[in-house]
Amino acid sequence: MREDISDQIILEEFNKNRHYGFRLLFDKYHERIYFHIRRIVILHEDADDALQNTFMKIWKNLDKFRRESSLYTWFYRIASNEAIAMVNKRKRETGLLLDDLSEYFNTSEEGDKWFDGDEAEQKLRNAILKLPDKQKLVFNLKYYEDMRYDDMSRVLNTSVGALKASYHHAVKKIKDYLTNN
Amino acid sequence: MTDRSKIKDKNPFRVPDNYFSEVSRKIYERTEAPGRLKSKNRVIGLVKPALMLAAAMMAFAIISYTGLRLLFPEYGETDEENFTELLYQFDEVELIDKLTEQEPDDDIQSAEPDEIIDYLLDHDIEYTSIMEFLN
Repeated sequence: MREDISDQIILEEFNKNRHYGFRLLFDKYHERIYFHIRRIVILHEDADDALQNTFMKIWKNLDKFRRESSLYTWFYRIASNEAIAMVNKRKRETGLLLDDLSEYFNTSEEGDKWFDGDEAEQKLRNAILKLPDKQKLVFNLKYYEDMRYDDMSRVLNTSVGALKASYHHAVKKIKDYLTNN
Repeated sequence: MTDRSKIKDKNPFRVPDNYFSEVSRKIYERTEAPGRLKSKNRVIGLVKPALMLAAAMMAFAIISYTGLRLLFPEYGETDEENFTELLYQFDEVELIDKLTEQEPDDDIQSAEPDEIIDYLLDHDIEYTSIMEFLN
């Protein structure tokens, strides 16, 4: 892993040699981007597709990356969009609504595949699944990634105030779910 | 941003054995050899409107010519001079003018593929869905 290499150096290497720079970038970010996507889409197969789509978009667009935002917020933005697109595709294919989809993941063999959580973690997963897409993203980025609100604001193109309110609502809904289930 | 060990501490999701090395290999292969099929599809997608317009103009010319033949039978089948005149009117003037007037097509043709991808990215439009729709 090359997590110690700064984004600035990665961009400089990319400008010198696209393939080498991209490999540095991929090595640094692919695991955390994968798990960010996975928490949204749940299924490994969907996460795999979304991860590959994300990095191919990064590959095609990195030379036009505008440096006013940080590299990692830009990645998370692309990955979040890919993850939501994948969830919507899954909903279309299965014809299921959001609540039914969480029930489906909870009861199907497919939902249990590659999931090692205990009962508490499963409950938390189901509670998060019931959140609307945007709240789900906000909660995951804050709770799992410890992302700062100003960075999240750039990822989701939403004001910091709205994000704080969204996180507050998400936490309340999750607490209610865990209390009642 | 959190460190990876902290993510893993809270992470109940597993991946298949060697998944990350396998996906690295796939991604590197894709970046080394850009998909030819995708490029071909993109070119077809870009020229498709112009081809459809040209086909529509040709159909219009044929139908108009047939109509004129029926309405004005004095333009006999053997009247080669009149036939050529009608044909030139459609082909040289209307058809080419109509085709060159198409500003949206010019925009599409001058757009770089990366600009199109960027636009789709900014507007959260799934590229694969569009290609599926067009094909």
